[in-house]
Amino acid sequence: MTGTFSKTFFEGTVLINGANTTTGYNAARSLRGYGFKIYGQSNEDGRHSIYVKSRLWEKVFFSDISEANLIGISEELMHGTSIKSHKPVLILSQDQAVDIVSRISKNIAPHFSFQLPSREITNVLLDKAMYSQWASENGVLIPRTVHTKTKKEVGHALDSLTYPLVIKPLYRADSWDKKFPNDKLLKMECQPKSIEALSSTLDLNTELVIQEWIPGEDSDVYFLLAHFGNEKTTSIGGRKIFQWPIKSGSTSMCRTFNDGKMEELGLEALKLANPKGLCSIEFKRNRENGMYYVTEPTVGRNDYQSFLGTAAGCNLTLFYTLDCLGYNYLAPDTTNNAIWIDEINCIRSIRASIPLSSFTSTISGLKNVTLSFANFSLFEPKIIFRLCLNILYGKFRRLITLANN
Amino acid sequence: MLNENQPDDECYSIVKLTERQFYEMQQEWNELLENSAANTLFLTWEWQSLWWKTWAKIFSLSLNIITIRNRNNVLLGIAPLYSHNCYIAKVIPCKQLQFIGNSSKIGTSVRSEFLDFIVHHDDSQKIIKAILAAIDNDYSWDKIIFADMITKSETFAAISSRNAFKRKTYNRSILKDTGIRIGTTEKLSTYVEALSKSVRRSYFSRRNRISASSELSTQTNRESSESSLALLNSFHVLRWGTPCFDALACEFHRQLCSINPTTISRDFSTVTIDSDYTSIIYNIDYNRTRYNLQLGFKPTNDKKVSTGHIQLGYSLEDSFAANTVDKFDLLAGNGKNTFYKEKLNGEAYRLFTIEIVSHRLLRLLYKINDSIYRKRILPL
Repeated sequence: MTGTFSKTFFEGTVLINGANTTTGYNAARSLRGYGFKIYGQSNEDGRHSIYVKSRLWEKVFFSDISEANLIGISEELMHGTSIKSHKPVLILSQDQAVDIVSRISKNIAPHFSFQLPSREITNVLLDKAMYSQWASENGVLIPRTVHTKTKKEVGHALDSLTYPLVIKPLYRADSWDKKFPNDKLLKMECQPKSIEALSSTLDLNTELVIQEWIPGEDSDVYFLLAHFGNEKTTSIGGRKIFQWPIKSGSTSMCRTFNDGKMEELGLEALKLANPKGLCSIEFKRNRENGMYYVTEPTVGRNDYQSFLGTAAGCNLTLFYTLDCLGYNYLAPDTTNNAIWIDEINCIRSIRASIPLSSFTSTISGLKNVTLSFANFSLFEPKIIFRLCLNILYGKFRRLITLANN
Repeated sequence: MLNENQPDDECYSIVKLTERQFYEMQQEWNELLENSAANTLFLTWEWQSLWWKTWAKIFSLSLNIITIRNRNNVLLGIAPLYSHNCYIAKVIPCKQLQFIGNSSKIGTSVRSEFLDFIVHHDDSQKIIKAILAAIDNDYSWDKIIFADMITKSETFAAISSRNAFKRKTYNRSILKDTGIRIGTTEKLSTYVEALSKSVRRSYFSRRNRISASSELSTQTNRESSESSLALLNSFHVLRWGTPCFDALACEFHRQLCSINPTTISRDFSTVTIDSDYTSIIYNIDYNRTRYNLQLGFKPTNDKKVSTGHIQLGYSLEDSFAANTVDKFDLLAGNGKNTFYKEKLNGEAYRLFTIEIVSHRLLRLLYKINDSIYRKRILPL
């Protein structure tokens, strides 16, 4: 790596959805220093997020993702440019945005350049229930799954599946987030004494996905981040080290994992769906039988830990952008070893008494590692600083409330 | 000479051509070009050799064409380069490599677009890598200018990766241009219907308004390239204040137009109003693409009528009718007031001029220059 590039080497305009999220912010970081004009989009609620205050954004648009809003943003971005043929690139960071853009893709195609699979495939990959059915029809190994809509169906599922089980909402709504703000899913070690006991904690008459638990730790979760471009497919494998919450949450620390077999398996599972653009797939290795089970596909957007690829020299967000803008690019033959850390959640994971032996075995053999962080960068240390301040302020307020009570 | 960086098991021989070898390899050059992704008019042996004959001596250029062959002596790649000694900021001596067909920062010649390495489409990446390694091993240059390279090319991809060269380099893009290419394989009526109302009127309907009051006629395939070039120049002087082709460029195009039309077929077409020439277009057909090299026209008294648009409308009609043309390439360059080309609903492509600087002091100076320039236009 001996060439350095001027900071205006490329040209193009990019709109990143979810500018108020870690995923959106990390996508912007991946494009820094290449010459793109980076704009953000966030809903109104995201106005107070630390990420929207980043220097990376030329401007952040605070409006919901909708056809009219996106066309309006595109017109504003194109206003005053002499050449209208080069449309801004749209990078998505949230499932909801992927769903909406997939629905309105024909109408916004004249205003943005983006890559998404067909509507049908996007639907299948977004919907946990549809995906489990599609996967079993296409020979993709997934844990046994039941999609339920009523209390009665939940009862049947609890009787027919092997424990432990996990229960997750089909669509994560506010009602779930209020009850379980940090959990993507609930784990049940054994059958509840009665279904009534369960219904007191969970609304069983909503759409739920009940799945058999794959035995293993957080470090048994592997993933493949990929970009399916117009002519090239680029991918990078990774392995989780910690999740938060443990065993069921999002990645709090992960590393690159160069394993041809795993990569082949992931690409095969993704290619079956004829994907386009950014996507990823997550596997869990069953500790008992050694088999890899697909636990979660992601379509049309970056994953939470996608910045790992950037740190390792396989910048999928950049490749996506270049491809959309009509630049050819070389996918790297080899990648660096890298570790990605979500600082705050990583501390939480470590505090939750993770055996250090698991940690050391997962990162053993990694040499010349590039460390990357979800929030910290030398370019913009204020982000992590403000994040820490926010946490301390929250704790301080809780203390005051406790003292008052 | 055998290249030390042999990609995989393939062994390539890399040779720099002499001027004589260059002039004698027309057939081999064009055969390779036909088997490459860079098969454009500007990389044909005819264009390249003619450019070299016309400007090499005047600009004191030294030939630096690198060819790459396999064990069976089959030509697999050509890097059509030359070297030139110059002074940066009139002080720092610099030896720069450039593509033949471009004289950026040296003097005025003709603009050649889509410049690239010519590599066989089988194993193109490996061949490009071997050419770049050969350039890297040559420590005599301080800077390379890859001019007017299409950003979709594999060479662009290779040089815009961080490990293109082993030595330390600073890579910057100094010119970013956009060209427009129109597919002409569908029906003309379908194409015209998809255009905006104003464009349709201006390019295809306004002619009726003129012919109602005057005698409008068109002429294609004009015989004399000399008088056609003179007419083009006269229109350019009227509109831009300077001719589009100087004496050497005129000589270059005169010779190009005299080439056997089976490979490169030129066309000068005109529009006359009441027997008065009002516009002229200069196109060259090569490899099923019509390249619009120049367009010149006279302003009319009627502000709603542009004879340039009418001329282009006729030329588009002709391209859609021709069985030998699949694309009409308007090439890069803006109009005087707007980028009119993009209104014609073609496919836009980017042409970049990239500088690779290896000279230590120049690297530093360019970095400083770029950071100051960037701060001025893009305050963070």
